[in-house]
Amino acid sequence: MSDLFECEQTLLVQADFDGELDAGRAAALVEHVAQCPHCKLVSEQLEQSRALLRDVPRYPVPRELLRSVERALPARAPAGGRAPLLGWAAALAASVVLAIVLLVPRAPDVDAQLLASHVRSLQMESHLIDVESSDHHTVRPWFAGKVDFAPVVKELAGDGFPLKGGRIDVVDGRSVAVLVYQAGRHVVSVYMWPERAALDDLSQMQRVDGFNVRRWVEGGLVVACISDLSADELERFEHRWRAQ
Amino acid sequence: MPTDSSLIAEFRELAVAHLESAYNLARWLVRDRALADDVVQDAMLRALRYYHGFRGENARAWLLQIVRNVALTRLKRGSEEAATSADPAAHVSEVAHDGPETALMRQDDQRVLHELLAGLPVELRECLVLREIEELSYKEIARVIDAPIGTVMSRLWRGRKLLVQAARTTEAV
Repeated sequence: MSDLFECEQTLLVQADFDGELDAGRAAALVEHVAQCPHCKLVSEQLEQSRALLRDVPRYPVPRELLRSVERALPARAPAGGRAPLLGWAAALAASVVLAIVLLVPRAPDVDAQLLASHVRSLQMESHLIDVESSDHHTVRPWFAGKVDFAPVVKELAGDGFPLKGGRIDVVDGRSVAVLVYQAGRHVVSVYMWPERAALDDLSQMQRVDGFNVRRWVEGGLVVACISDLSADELERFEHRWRAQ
Repeated sequence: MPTDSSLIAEFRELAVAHLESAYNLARWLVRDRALADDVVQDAMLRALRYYHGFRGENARAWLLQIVRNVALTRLKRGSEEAATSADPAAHVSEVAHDGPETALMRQDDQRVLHELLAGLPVELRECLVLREIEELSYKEIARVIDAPIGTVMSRLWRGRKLLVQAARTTEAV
């Protein structure tokens, strides 16, 4: 223990490493670390510990546990045997709230819905993908007749994001097209729907409960990707996507 | 228990969205598959009971705090039972209870690391799991473990240092 905090700045170096310092304090610390051998060592050890933990698993939720939690808690509306999301979306569609949601841009609500949809699709493996293919010539026609617009399907395997397939989901009371891409250990869901209301084509970044969301407008469609990828990686995904 | 169905439905959304974090934390704390399952179910029921008093700020940290309390209570109870019984089977080994999904990651380095982290004292392990796997901020971790931020910082550092030292001695890197 005695050598644990040889330099009183040790925990500050760690706080900087964890992104907990504001820019001013972080800058001051850089000068200190440059001339303190102890803090240099601390920096190295922090990097090492993170590298060690990078591949430590996040335990997947056993299916039975998800089911029993869902069973114990009744959904918003009697689901009548439908998937909980559909039951919930149907209840929403039936309510007057929908009119308000459609009239007023309420991005955070939509993001929350995207998040719920993305998370649920990961947990119910069967609903991650309805059409399984890495070929956009297969995926694109599959959407015909299922949604009332033509979704954009891009192949990004060359950029490290192979296409896994697509599915239909309900967001904001309407059917949307979802493409699923693999990104290493992570999954990126790309949601698309036509936007009638004027919306600036400004790419936006949101962080919702540990997930990153990026959205932009492209060819009359709102495109929103959500993933537990880091913000930088998801930004790279957006760039690769929009470069095509 | 709240009886308001919209409140329950609201809680359900939240419970499902954070189930993965809840289970992962429980699993790393109790290191037993069946027990982690139990802990999460129990924690969710408790959380539902207190949900009407929850004021919407950081649901994940709030839920994880409950998961942690339930997990630690179970661990304590478990070790008391183990201490009073002479039955060696009461010391349940992690390996024996791990399911097939861990068999998938039994490549050597990963297993060694897994054991290094699992072998840290629980108060250091929980901080590392919350920071490095769940990516919580110091403030959130402080809330989950109900301790000042300074404690979070020093436990994180002790945990990281121990991990690096242990990895060096086992040459896992």
